[in-house]
Amino acid sequence: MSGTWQRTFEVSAPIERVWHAFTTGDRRRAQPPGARPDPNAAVKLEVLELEPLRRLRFAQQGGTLPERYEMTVVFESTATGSRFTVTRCGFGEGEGADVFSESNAHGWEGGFMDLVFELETGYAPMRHYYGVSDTCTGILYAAREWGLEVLSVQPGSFGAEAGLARGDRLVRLAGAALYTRANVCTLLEEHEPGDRLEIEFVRNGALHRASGALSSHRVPSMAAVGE
Amino acid sequence: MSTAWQRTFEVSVPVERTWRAFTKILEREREQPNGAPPDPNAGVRRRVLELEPMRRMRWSTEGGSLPERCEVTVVFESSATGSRFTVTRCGFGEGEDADVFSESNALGFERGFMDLVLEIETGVAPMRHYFGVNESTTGVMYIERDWGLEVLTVKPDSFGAEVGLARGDRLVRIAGAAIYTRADVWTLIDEHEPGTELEVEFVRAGQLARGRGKLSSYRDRRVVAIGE
Repeated sequence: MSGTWQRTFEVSAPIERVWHAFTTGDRRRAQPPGARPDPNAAVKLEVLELEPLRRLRFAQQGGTLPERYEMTVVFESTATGSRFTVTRCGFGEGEGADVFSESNAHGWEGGFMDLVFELETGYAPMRHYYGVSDTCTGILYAAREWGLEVLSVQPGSFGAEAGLARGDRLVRLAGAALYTRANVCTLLEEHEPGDRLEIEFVRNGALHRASGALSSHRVPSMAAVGE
Repeated sequence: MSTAWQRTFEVSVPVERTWRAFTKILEREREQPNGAPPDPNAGVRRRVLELEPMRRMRWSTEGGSLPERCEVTVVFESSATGSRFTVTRCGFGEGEDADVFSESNALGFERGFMDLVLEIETGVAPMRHYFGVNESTTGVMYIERDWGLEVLTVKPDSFGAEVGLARGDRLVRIAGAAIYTRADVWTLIDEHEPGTELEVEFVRAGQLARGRGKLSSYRDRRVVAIGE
Protein backbone atom coordinates (compact mmCIF):
# COMPACT_ATOMS: atom_id res chain seq x y z
CA MET A 1 0.00 0.00 0.00
CA SER A 2 1.13 3.55 -0.58
CA GLY A 3 1.24 4.27 3.16
CA THR A 4 1.69 7.43 5.13
CA TRP A 5 4.52 9.93 4.88
CA GLN A 6 5.44 12.10 7.86
CA ARG A 7 8.21 14.53 8.66
CA THR A 8 8.87 17.24 11.22
CA PHE A 9 10.69 20.44 10.30
CA GLU A 10 12.28 22.82 12.82
CA VAL A 11 12.27 26.50 11.85
CA SER A 12 14.13 29.38 13.51
CA ALA A 13 11.14 31.70 13.01
CA PRO A 14 8.10 32.35 15.22
CA ILE A 15 5.03 30.21 14.71
CA GLU A 16 3.02 33.18 13.39
CA ARG A 17 5.35 33.53 10.39
CA VAL A 18 5.26 29.81 9.66
CA TRP A 19 1.46 29.74 9.85
CA HIS A 20 1.30 32.81 7.61
CA ALA A 21 3.52 31.12 5.01
CA PHE A 22 1.17 28.14 4.89
CA THR A 23 -2.04 30.11 4.66
CA THR A 24 -1.13 32.99 2.36
CA GLY A 25 -1.31 32.62 -1.41
CA ASP A 26 -0.87 29.40 -3.32
CA ARG A 27 2.84 28.83 -2.91
CA ARG A 28 2.75 25.30 -4.28
CA ARG A 29 2.39 26.61 -7.77
CA ALA A 30 5.35 28.96 -7.95
CA GLN A 31 7.29 28.08 -11.11
CA PRO A 32 9.98 30.11 -12.87
CA PRO A 33 9.30 31.31 -16.42
CA GLY A 34 9.92 28.63 -19.05
CA ALA A 35 9.19 25.69 -16.73
CA ARG A 36 6.86 22.99 -18.06
CA PRO A 37 3.28 23.75 -17.09
CA ASP A 38 2.07 21.75 -14.09
CA PRO A 39 -0.75 19.40 -15.23
CA ASN A 40 -2.26 19.69 -11.75
CA ALA A 41 -2.18 23.49 -11.58
CA ALA A 42 -5.99 23.61 -11.77
CA VAL A 43 -6.55 20.89 -9.17
CA LYS A 44 -7.89 22.76 -6.18
CA LEU A 45 -7.22 22.20 -2.52
CA GLU A 46 -10.13 21.42 -0.29
CA VAL A 47 -9.47 22.90 3.16
CA LEU A 48 -10.84 20.56 5.83
CA GLU A 49 -9.55 22.18 9.04
CA LEU A 50 -8.04 25.55 9.81
CA GLU A 51 -7.23 26.11 13.47
CA PRO A 52 -4.95 29.18 13.50
CA LEU A 53 -1.38 28.60 14.74
CA ARG A 54 -2.22 24.98 15.57
CA ARG A 55 -3.49 22.78 12.79
CA LEU A 56 -4.23 22.74 9.09
CA ARG A 57 -5.73 19.92 7.08
CA PHE A 58 -6.50 19.79 3.39
CA ALA A 59 -7.28 17.28 0.64
CA GLN A 60 -6.69 17.18 -3.08
CA GLN A 61 -7.96 14.97 -5.87
CA GLY A 62 -8.16 14.92 -9.67
CA GLY A 63 -5.60 15.80 -12.32
CA THR A 64 -2.83 13.21 -12.56
CA LEU A 65 -3.22 12.21 -8.90
CA PRO A 66 -4.04 8.50 -8.69
CA GLU A 67 -6.55 9.07 -5.86
CA ARG A 68 -7.53 11.60 -3.23
CA TYR A 69 -4.96 12.32 -0.55
CA GLU A 70 -5.04 14.26 2.71
CA MET A 71 -2.34 16.38 4.31
CA THR A 72 -2.33 17.41 7.96
CA VAL A 73 0.08 20.04 9.29
CA VAL A 74 0.51 20.53 13.05
CA PHE A 75 2.26 23.70 14.27
CA GLU A 76 4.09 24.12 17.61
CA SER A 77 6.26 26.75 19.27
CA THR A 78 9.74 25.70 20.42
CA ALA A 79 12.60 27.22 22.42
CA THR A 80 14.30 28.32 19.17
CA GLY A 81 11.28 29.22 17.06
CA SER A 82 8.74 26.70 15.89
CA ARG A 83 8.24 23.35 14.25
CA PHE A 84 5.67 21.85 11.95
CA THR A 85 4.86 18.20 11.33
CA VAL A 86 3.33 17.18 8.02
CA THR A 87 1.44 13.90 7.58
CA ARG A 88 0.27 12.83 4.16
CA CYS A 89 -1.92 9.83 3.44
CA GLY A 90 -3.92 8.54 0.52
CA PHE A 91 -3.26 7.82 -3.17
CA GLY A 92 -4.86 4.38 -2.91
CA GLU A 93 -3.45 0.92 -3.49
CA GLY A 94 -1.37 -0.85 -6.09
CA GLU A 95 2.05 -0.52 -7.68
CA GLY A 96 1.27 2.69 -9.60
CA ALA A 97 -0.04 4.39 -6.46
CA ASP A 98 2.98 3.23 -4.44
CA VAL A 99 5.44 4.73 -6.89
CA PHE A 100 3.47 7.96 -7.19
CA SER A 101 3.31 8.19 -3.41
CA GLU A 102 7.06 7.66 -3.04
CA SER A 103 7.92 10.22 -5.70
CA ASN A 104 5.36 12.70 -4.38
CA ALA A 105 6.81 12.41 -0.84
CA HIS A 106 10.25 13.25 -2.19
CA GLY A 107 8.75 16.29 -3.92
CA TRP A 108 6.94 17.51 -0.80
CA GLU A 109 10.08 17.04 1.25
CA GLY A 110 12.00 19.26 -1.15
CA GLY A 111 9.17 21.79 -1.19
CA PHE A 112 9.01 22.03 2.61
CA MET A 113 12.80 22.26 2.89
CA ASP A 114 12.62 25.17 0.42
CA LEU A 115 9.93 26.78 2.59
CA VAL A 116 12.07 26.51 5.75
CA PHE A 117 15.01 27.95 3.79
CA GLU A 118 12.89 30.92 2.69
CA LEU A 119 11.44 31.54 6.16
CA GLU A 120 14.92 31.67 7.68
CA THR A 121 16.74 33.71 5.03
CA GLY A 122 14.10 35.62 3.06
CA TYR A 123 15.41 33.97 -0.10
CA ALA A 124 13.27 31.43 -2.00
CA PRO A 125 15.79 28.90 -3.35
CA MET A 126 13.34 27.24 -5.82
CA ARG A 127 15.28 23.98 -5.69
CA HIS A 128 12.04 22.09 -6.22
CA TYR A 129 9.04 22.95 -8.40
CA TYR A 130 7.05 21.11 -11.03
CA GLY A 131 9.29 20.84 -14.08
CA VAL A 132 12.53 21.71 -12.24
CA SER A 133 14.25 19.34 -14.67
CA ASP A 134 13.22 18.56 -18.25
CA THR A 135 15.45 15.50 -18.23
CA CYS A 136 14.04 12.05 -17.57
CA THR A 137 14.96 8.39 -17.97
CA GLY A 138 11.57 6.91 -18.93
CA ILE A 139 12.08 4.36 -16.16
CA LEU A 140 9.51 3.71 -13.48
CA TYR A 141 11.28 2.41 -10.40
CA ALA A 142 10.56 1.63 -6.76
CA ALA A 143 12.84 2.27 -3.77
CA ARG A 144 13.78 -1.01 -2.08
CA GLU A 145 15.96 -1.73 0.94
CA TRP A 146 18.99 -2.25 -1.30
CA GLY A 147 18.25 0.53 -3.86
CA LEU A 148 16.14 1.10 -6.98
CA GLU A 149 14.27 -1.65 -8.82
CA VAL A 150 13.02 -1.15 -12.37
CA LEU A 151 9.24 -1.63 -12.71
CA SER A 152 8.63 -0.53 -16.29
CA VAL A 153 10.37 1.25 -19.15
CA GLN A 154 8.78 3.65 -21.66
CA PRO A 155 9.40 2.68 -25.32
CA GLY A 156 11.85 5.00 -27.08
CA SER A 157 13.26 6.37 -23.80
CA PHE A 158 16.75 6.37 -22.26
CA GLY A 159 15.76 3.28 -20.29
CA ALA A 160 14.68 1.45 -23.46
CA GLU A 161 17.87 2.39 -25.32
CA ALA A 162 19.93 1.11 -22.37
CA GLY A 163 17.96 -2.15 -22.58
CA LEU A 164 16.54 -2.02 -19.05
CA ALA A 165 13.66 -4.30 -18.10
CA ARG A 166 11.42 -5.00 -15.14
CA GLY A 167 13.32 -6.47 -12.20
CA ASP A 168 16.70 -4.93 -13.05
CA ARG A 169 18.51 -3.50 -10.05
CA LEU A 170 20.14 -0.12 -10.68
CA VAL A 171 23.69 0.29 -9.36
CA ARG A 172 25.33 3.38 -10.92
CA LEU A 173 24.42 6.17 -13.34
CA ALA A 174 27.18 8.30 -14.90
CA GLY A 175 29.60 6.57 -12.53
CA ALA A 176 27.73 7.76 -9.42
CA ALA A 177 26.21 5.25 -6.99
CA LEU A 178 22.41 4.95 -7.05
CA TYR A 179 20.74 4.18 -3.73
CA THR A 180 17.63 6.35 -3.73
CA ARG A 181 15.26 8.26 -5.96
CA ALA A 182 17.04 11.45 -4.84
CA ASN A 183 20.32 10.26 -6.37
CA VAL A 184 18.67 9.91 -9.81
CA CYS A 185 17.05 13.35 -9.43
CA THR A 186 20.44 14.95 -8.71
CA LEU A 187 21.95 13.52 -11.89
CA LEU A 188 18.93 14.38 -14.05
CA GLU A 189 18.93 17.98 -12.83
CA GLU A 190 22.58 18.25 -13.70
CA HIS A 191 22.25 16.81 -17.21
CA GLU A 192 20.30 17.94 -20.28
CA PRO A 193 18.07 15.75 -22.44
CA GLY A 194 20.26 14.15 -25.12
CA ASP A 195 23.32 13.72 -22.85
CA ARG A 196 24.67 10.19 -23.11
CA LEU A 197 25.12 8.49 -19.74
CA GLU A 198 26.31 5.05 -18.76
CA ILE A 199 24.11 2.98 -16.48
CA GLU A 200 25.14 -0.12 -14.49
CA PHE A 201 22.61 -2.66 -13.27
CA VAL A 202 22.36 -6.19 -11.92
CA ARG A 203 20.29 -8.80 -13.79
CA ASN A 204 20.34 -12.56 -13.18
CA GLY A 205 23.21 -12.28 -10.74
CA ALA A 206 25.57 -10.42 -13.08
CA LEU A 207 26.58 -6.79 -13.43
CA HIS A 208 25.70 -5.19 -16.79
CA ARG A 209 26.70 -1.90 -18.38
CA ALA A 210 24.79 0.01 -21.04
CA SER A 211 24.32 3.59 -22.17
CA GLY A 212 21.67 5.79 -23.70
CA ALA A 213 20.71 9.38 -24.48
CA LEU A 214 18.63 11.01 -21.71
CA SER A 215 14.98 11.65 -22.58
CA SER A 216 12.90 14.82 -22.23
CA HIS A 217 9.76 15.31 -20.14
CA ARG A 218 8.55 17.51 -22.99
CA VAL A 219 8.01 14.31 -24.98
CA PRO A 220 5.16 12.94 -22.83
CA SER A 221 5.36 9.38 -24.20
CA MET A 222 8.86 9.10 -22.71
CA ALA A 223 8.07 10.21 -19.18
CA ALA A 224 7.10 7.49 -16.73
CA VAL A 225 4.42 8.42 -14.18
CA GLY A 226 5.99 9.14 -10.82
CA GLU A 227 9.52 9.30 -12.13
CA MET B 1 25.16 15.81 20.34
CA SER B 2 25.89 12.99 17.94
CA THR B 3 22.79 10.90 18.43
CA ALA B 4 22.20 7.25 17.77
CA TRP B 5 21.44 6.05 14.26
CA GLN B 6 19.05 3.19 13.61
CA ARG B 7 17.64 1.51 10.54
CA THR B 8 15.85 -1.74 9.75
CA PHE B 9 16.53 -3.62 6.52
CA GLU B 10 14.26 -6.31 5.05
CA VAL B 11 16.01 -9.10 3.16
CA SER B 12 14.35 -11.79 0.98
CA VAL B 13 16.54 -14.61 2.33
CA PRO B 14 16.30 -16.73 5.51
CA VAL B 15 17.79 -15.35 8.71
CA GLU B 16 20.58 -17.99 8.57
CA ARG B 17 21.97 -16.47 5.36
CA THR B 18 21.71 -12.93 6.69
CA TRP B 19 23.49 -13.96 9.90
CA ARG B 20 26.24 -15.65 7.87
CA ALA B 21 26.77 -12.51 5.78
CA PHE B 22 27.31 -10.51 8.99
CA THR B 23 29.73 -12.99 10.53
CA LYS B 24 31.71 -12.75 7.27
CA ILE B 25 31.83 -8.96 7.70
CA LEU B 26 33.36 -9.36 11.13
CA GLU B 27 36.01 -11.65 9.65
CA ARG B 28 36.83 -9.87 6.42
CA GLU B 29 38.21 -6.39 6.83
CA ARG B 30 36.97 -3.42 4.81
CA GLU B 31 37.13 -4.41 1.16
CA GLN B 32 38.38 -1.85 -1.32
CA PRO B 33 39.07 -2.24 -5.01
CA ASN B 34 42.66 -1.96 -6.29
CA GLY B 35 43.86 1.61 -6.60
CA ALA B 36 41.48 3.14 -4.04
CA PRO B 37 43.10 5.54 -1.56
CA PRO B 38 44.12 3.65 1.59
CA ASP B 39 41.52 3.71 4.36
CA PRO B 40 42.91 5.62 7.38
CA ASN B 41 40.74 3.39 9.59
CA ALA B 42 41.97 0.10 8.19
CA GLY B 43 43.69 -0.53 11.51
CA VAL B 44 40.73 0.41 13.69
CA ARG B 45 40.27 -2.00 16.58
CA ARG B 46 36.98 -3.87 16.43
CA ARG B 47 35.92 -5.82 19.50
CA VAL B 48 33.03 -8.27 19.41
CA LEU B 49 30.95 -7.78 22.57
CA GLU B 50 28.03 -10.14 21.93
CA LEU B 51 27.41 -12.94 19.44
CA GLU B 52 24.12 -14.76 19.87
CA PRO B 53 23.66 -16.78 16.65
CA MET B 54 20.65 -15.79 14.45
CA ARG B 55 19.57 -13.27 17.08
CA ARG B 56 21.98 -10.59 18.09
CA MET B 57 25.44 -9.22 17.48
CA ARG B 58 27.20 -6.29 19.12
CA TRP B 59 30.64 -4.85 18.49
CA SER B 60 32.61 -1.71 19.23
CA THR B 61 35.25 0.15 17.23
CA GLU B 62 37.78 2.75 18.26
CA GLY B 63 41.02 4.29 17.07
CA GLY B 64 42.07 5.54 13.63
CA SER B 65 40.29 8.75 12.63
CA LEU B 66 37.21 7.90 14.72
CA PRO B 67 36.54 10.77 17.15
CA GLU B 68 35.56 8.37 19.93
CA ARG B 69 34.53 4.79 20.53
CA CYS B 70 31.28 3.69 18.86
CA GLU B 71 29.08 0.66 19.37
CA VAL B 72 26.99 -1.16 16.80
CA THR B 73 24.16 -3.56 17.70
CA VAL B 74 22.45 -5.72 15.08
CA VAL B 75 19.25 -7.60 15.89
CA PHE B 76 18.13 -10.39 13.51
CA GLU B 77 14.57 -11.65 13.01
CA SER B 78 12.76 -13.98 10.68
CA SER B 79 9.94 -12.44 8.65
CA ALA B 80 7.14 -13.72 6.41
CA THR B 81 9.26 -12.98 3.31
CA GLY B 82 12.71 -13.83 4.65
CA SER B 83 14.40 -11.91 7.40
CA ARG B 84 15.16 -8.47 8.69
CA PHE B 85 17.96 -6.88 10.65
CA THR B 86 17.99 -3.69 12.69
CA VAL B 87 21.24 -1.80 13.11
CA THR B 88 21.72 0.64 16.00
CA ARG B 89 24.88 2.69 16.21
CA CYS B 90 25.80 5.02 19.05
CA GLY B 91 28.88 6.81 20.26
CA PHE B 92 31.42 9.21 18.70
CA GLY B 93 31.14 11.69 21.59
CA GLU B 94 30.03 15.30 21.68
CA GLY B 95 30.68 18.52 19.78
CA GLU B 96 30.40 19.84 16.25
CA ASP B 97 33.13 17.63 14.75
CA ALA B 98 31.61 14.52 16.32
CA ASP B 99 28.15 15.50 15.04
CA VAL B 100 29.39 15.88 11.49
CA PHE B 101 31.40 12.66 11.65
CA SER B 102 28.38 10.83 13.05
CA GLU B 103 26.08 12.13 10.30
CA SER B 104 28.51 11.27 7.54
CA ASN B 105 29.30 7.89 9.06
CA ALA B 106 25.55 7.07 9.25
CA LEU B 107 25.17 7.70 5.52
CA GLY B 108 28.20 5.50 4.90
CA PHE B 109 26.77 2.71 7.08
CA GLU B 110 23.40 3.02 5.40
CA ARG B 111 25.02 2.64 1.99
CA GLY B 112 27.23 -0.21 3.16
CA PHE B 113 24.22 -2.14 4.49
CA MET B 114 22.21 -1.46 1.31
CA ASP B 115 25.16 -2.94 -0.62
CA LEU B 116 25.12 -5.94 1.70
CA VAL B 117 21.38 -6.55 1.09
CA LEU B 118 21.91 -6.33 -2.67
CA GLU B 119 24.78 -8.81 -2.43
CA ILE B 120 22.82 -11.24 -0.23
CA GLU B 121 19.86 -11.17 -2.64
CA THR B 122 21.72 -11.30 -5.98
CA GLY B 123 25.19 -12.68 -5.30
CA VAL B 124 26.72 -9.55 -6.84
CA ALA B 125 28.74 -7.19 -4.61
CA PRO B 126 27.92 -3.82 -6.16
CA MET B 127 30.70 -1.91 -4.31
CA ARG B 128 28.76 1.32 -4.55
CA HIS B 129 30.25 2.38 -1.24
CA TYR B 130 33.71 1.86 0.20
CA PHE B 131 36.35 4.12 1.66
CA GLY B 132 37.75 6.20 -1.19
CA VAL B 133 34.85 5.53 -3.60
CA ASN B 134 35.02 9.26 -4.33
CA GLU B 135 38.42 10.45 -5.50
CA SER B 136 37.01 13.96 -5.46
CA THR B 137 36.45 16.09 -2.41
CA THR B 138 35.17 19.62 -1.78
CA GLY B 139 37.21 20.42 1.34
CA VAL B 140 33.99 21.70 2.92
CA MET B 141 32.69 20.47 6.26
CA TYR B 142 28.93 20.83 6.30
CA ILE B 143 25.99 19.71 8.42
CA GLU B 144 22.41 18.76 7.54
CA ARG B 145 19.71 21.17 8.66
CA ASP B 146 15.95 21.02 8.10
CA TRP B 147 16.33 23.31 5.06
CA GLY B 148 19.50 21.71 3.59
CA LEU B 149 23.30 21.89 4.04
CA GLU B 150 25.07 24.55 6.07
CA VAL B 151 28.80 25.20 5.67
CA LEU B 152 30.79 24.82 8.91
CA THR B 153 34.42 25.06 7.80
CA VAL B 154 36.40 25.23 4.56
CA LYS B 155 39.94 23.87 4.09
CA PRO B 156 42.47 26.35 2.61
CA ASP B 157 43.36 25.70 -1.06
CA SER B 158 40.36 23.39 -1.53
CA PHE B 159 37.45 23.48 -4.01
CA GLY B 160 35.36 25.18 -1.30
CA ALA B 161 38.00 27.87 -0.77
CA GLU B 162 38.24 28.55 -4.53
CA VAL B 163 34.43 28.88 -4.70
CA GLY B 164 34.67 31.36 -1.81
CA LEU B 165 32.52 29.47 0.69
CA ALA B 166 32.56 30.44 4.37
CA ARG B 167 30.96 29.32 7.62
CA GLY B 168 27.19 29.88 7.69
CA ASP B 169 26.71 29.76 3.91
CA ARG B 170 23.66 27.77 2.81
CA LEU B 171 24.18 25.52 -0.21
CA VAL B 172 21.46 25.70 -2.88
CA ARG B 173 22.79 24.03 -6.03
CA ILE B 174 25.99 22.46 -7.33
CA ALA B 175 26.47 21.94 -11.09
CA GLY B 176 22.83 23.00 -11.54
CA ALA B 177 21.49 20.21 -9.30
CA ALA B 178 19.55 21.00 -6.11
CA ILE B 179 21.41 20.28 -2.87
CA TYR B 180 19.21 19.15 0.01
CA THR B 181 21.30 16.48 1.74
CA ARG B 182 24.82 15.14 2.16
CA ALA B 183 23.88 12.35 -0.28
CA ASP B 184 23.32 14.94 -3.04
CA VAL B 185 26.90 16.20 -2.67
CA TRP B 186 28.19 12.62 -2.58
CA THR B 187 26.40 11.88 -5.88
CA LEU B 188 28.15 14.78 -7.61
CA ILE B 189 31.64 14.10 -6.23
CA ASP B 190 31.14 10.43 -7.07
CA GLU B 191 30.36 11.37 -10.67
CA HIS B 192 33.12 13.92 -11.25
CA GLU B 193 36.91 13.52 -11.23
CA PRO B 194 39.22 15.78 -9.25
CA GLY B 195 39.99 18.88 -11.33
CA THR B 196 36.46 19.13 -12.78
CA GLU B 197 35.18 22.70 -12.53
CA LEU B 198 31.72 23.03 -10.96
CA GLU B 199 29.53 26.00 -10.12
CA VAL B 200 28.08 26.36 -6.62
CA GLU B 201 25.06 28.50 -5.75
CA PHE B 202 24.68 29.47 -2.10
CA VAL B 203 22.88 32.01 0.05
CA ARG B 204 24.77 34.40 2.33
CA ALA B 205 23.13 37.29 4.19
CA GLY B 206 19.82 36.70 2.37
CA GLN B 207 21.38 36.94 -1.10
CA LEU B 208 22.09 34.29 -3.72
CA ALA B 209 25.80 34.10 -4.59
CA ARG B 210 27.65 32.01 -7.18
CA GLY B 211 31.20 30.72 -7.28
CA ARG B 212 33.23 28.24 -9.29
CA GLY B 213 36.04 25.92 -8.36
CA LYS B 214 37.90 22.78 -9.40
CA LEU B 215 37.17 19.68 -7.33
CA SER B 216 40.00 18.73 -4.99
CA SER B 217 41.53 15.27 -4.71
CA TYR B 218 41.00 13.02 -1.74
CA ARG B 219 44.65 11.98 -2.08
CA ASP B 220 45.69 15.48 -0.96
CA ARG B 221 45.10 14.97 2.77
CA ARG B 222 45.55 18.70 3.52
CA VAL B 223 42.22 19.55 1.88
CA VAL B 224 40.08 16.70 3.22
CA ALA B 225 37.45 17.96 5.68
CA ILE B 226 36.21 15.89 8.61
CA GLY B 227 33.21 13.78 7.81
CA GLU B 228 32.80 14.95 4.26
